[in-house]
Amino acid sequence: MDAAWTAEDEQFRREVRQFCAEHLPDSIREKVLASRPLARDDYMRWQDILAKRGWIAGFWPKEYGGCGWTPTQSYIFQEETSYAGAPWLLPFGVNYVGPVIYTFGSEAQKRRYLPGILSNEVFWCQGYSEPNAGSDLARLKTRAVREGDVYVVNGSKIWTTMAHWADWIFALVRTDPSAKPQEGISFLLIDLKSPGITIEPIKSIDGLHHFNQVFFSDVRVPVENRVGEENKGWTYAKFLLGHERVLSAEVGKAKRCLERIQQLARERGLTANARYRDRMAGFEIDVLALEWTTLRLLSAVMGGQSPGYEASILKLRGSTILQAMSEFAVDVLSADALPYQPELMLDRINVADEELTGTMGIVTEFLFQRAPTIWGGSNEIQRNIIAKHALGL
Amino acid sequence: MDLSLTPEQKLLQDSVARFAAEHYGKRKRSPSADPSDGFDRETWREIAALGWLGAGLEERNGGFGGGPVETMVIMEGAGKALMSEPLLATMVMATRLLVETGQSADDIAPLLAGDEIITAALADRATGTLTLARGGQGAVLSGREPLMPYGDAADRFILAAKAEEAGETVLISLPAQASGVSRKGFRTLDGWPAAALAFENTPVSEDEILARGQAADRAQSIAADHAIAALCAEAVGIAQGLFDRTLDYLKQREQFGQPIGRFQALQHRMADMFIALEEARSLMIMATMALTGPEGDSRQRTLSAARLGVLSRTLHIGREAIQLHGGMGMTEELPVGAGFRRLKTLDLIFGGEPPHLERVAATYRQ
Repeated sequence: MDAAWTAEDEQFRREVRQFCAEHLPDSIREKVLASRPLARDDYMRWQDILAKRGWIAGFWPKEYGGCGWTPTQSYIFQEETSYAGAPWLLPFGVNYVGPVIYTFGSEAQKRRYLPGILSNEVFWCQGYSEPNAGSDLARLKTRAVREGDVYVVNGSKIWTTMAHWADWIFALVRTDPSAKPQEGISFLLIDLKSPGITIEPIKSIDGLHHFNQVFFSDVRVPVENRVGEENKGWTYAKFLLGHERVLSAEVGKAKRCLERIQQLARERGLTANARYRDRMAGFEIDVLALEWTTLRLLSAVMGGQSPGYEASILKLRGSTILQAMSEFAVDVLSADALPYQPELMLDRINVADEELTGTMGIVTEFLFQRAPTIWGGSNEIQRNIIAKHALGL
Repeated sequence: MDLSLTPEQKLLQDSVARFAAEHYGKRKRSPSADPSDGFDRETWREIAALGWLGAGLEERNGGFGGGPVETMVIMEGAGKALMSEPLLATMVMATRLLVETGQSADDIAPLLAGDEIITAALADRATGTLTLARGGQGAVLSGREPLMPYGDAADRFILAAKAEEAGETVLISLPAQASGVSRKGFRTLDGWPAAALAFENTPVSEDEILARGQAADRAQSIAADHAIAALCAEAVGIAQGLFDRTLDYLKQREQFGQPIGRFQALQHRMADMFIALEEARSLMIMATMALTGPEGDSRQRTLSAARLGVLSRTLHIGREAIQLHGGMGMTEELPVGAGFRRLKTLDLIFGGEPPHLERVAATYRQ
């Protein structure tokens, strides 16, 4: 047993840290550190910078344009960039659909779609949930009926994060309604410019626009846009969800969040309060437990094991800890957290020092952090997965 | 970074599990219900013969060249089986005090061989009541040590006294049969044996003094570091045992026409216990790894954080184990209550929670 990083990993960590120090634009870092809403351009600008360095899909195999990072390097990259205050590297293309395409897609699909993800030119979103099929994806009803070379898609997808910014959507659609619920589903790549698609915003609890409902009305999707076999989409979807959950521990963000709360408490003279300090100690211990659980998983993966229910642990705890810390940050602000009118923030999206809007980002974060315990398979679903697969109940 | 056990460490783990199954597998009652279960010298000799007592020690100290990971493996296995031999008080605490005060391998050999049981206090309040004064022929020890683990069975005690004239800490290794020593045995919260010791002008010779002043303080502090990591491992082992038992129970116990493990309300509680156990194990590894790094404030802070995190999580498992076992969890027929009692005992030694929380929380004063 040895907790030391290898010399190569240490070197890689220094490289990522230095790269962030030199190339992460201050205006973006300031917004992220203040939890202020980011514009599409903010995300894209940072991802262009990463793409130029060849780091946007570092964990992809070299043959598909990645760097072939080890799981440890991917972890270090995520920890360092998020700790530095980089925007969330939007996972829809790089982490979700990209690996599905290079693992299950045809040669033509790899040639057609992977370059756009690597160059950050194509913005993807995820079409999984439906109004009556959230965590229970087997109930999804969006229909795709084959007519010659095309599927005709009808139905709608909901909670589609950033669909209003996206160029393409990857969607689960029902291709065989007579099959058992988890069979008869296919995985389609759909151009959002296709006729028959409308995107309606859904304002979320923080008063901002992250989510959408996407409607499909007789949308014609070429059969060549289906990944893998017809009616086997569930397999690809599960593969993707595994990737989604491993990402959700966000140790770097949690560490940054602790420091941020401490800074706010200092400004407000709260550090003299013993109960404040005890709460912070508790959060720090939670973050350490999350970090060392992640390291154990990494060590096992590096030793050749593949993660299973462990990903559910990281998803459940990572989201819960950040959620609790984001609420505690608001508690520290106390009455200073009460002014909250997000349009004021959006009006002056790059102005952080206004008295009224200076801490609104923290309130935004508090409100929006209710989402991660629901999305990606709610935490109740994660408990079901653990009970079934780890405990045999 | 590699957080897996080496093949040798896995062999040790198997050996501990095998020994536990042979000696403790059939035990249903808690130590408090069965005096012979409290502590058995023959079992202790067998443990020594298996090499556990020197497994975490370097060769120059008479050990087998292992370190904190070996100790962790033993303590975790012992905790899982609720072994009640003096592993924490003797194998970890007393041994470490002897090593850190520079005793030779020959001096430590009788302890490692299981021939001499030496115990040291775990309550972290030992310096308060014992005083070492100048007597007629040399030094004499007076005062009380109210809670010496295995105090009735031990051959020798390691005691921390305050020197009357200099006010410094003196670490003393004293035979239990020394004159002026009286002991009264009793059971503690976990059902394990302890004794209250009283000393009245007990003569202490120069070669019974292990260390004085800063050297004594440093040895105590390092021994406490090792004991806290070992305590984390024991707690994780106990929690694992409670968890396994509870999971089996959920699969077997039928109510309302089906195994109670089919109820989602219980599945979710069991999943949360599973996560708590995994996190406790992660923090246990953090504590063990901290012992391989440099001594000092930062290491102590990490160990305190681990201790707080491990005990909050394992105690949660202990409480839930009793609740999910229903009435059976309350009885001494099953070792569920005994596990909980031992966990709570571990929570109360080394000052209990407050000083550790204070140490971690102090960072947030700045």
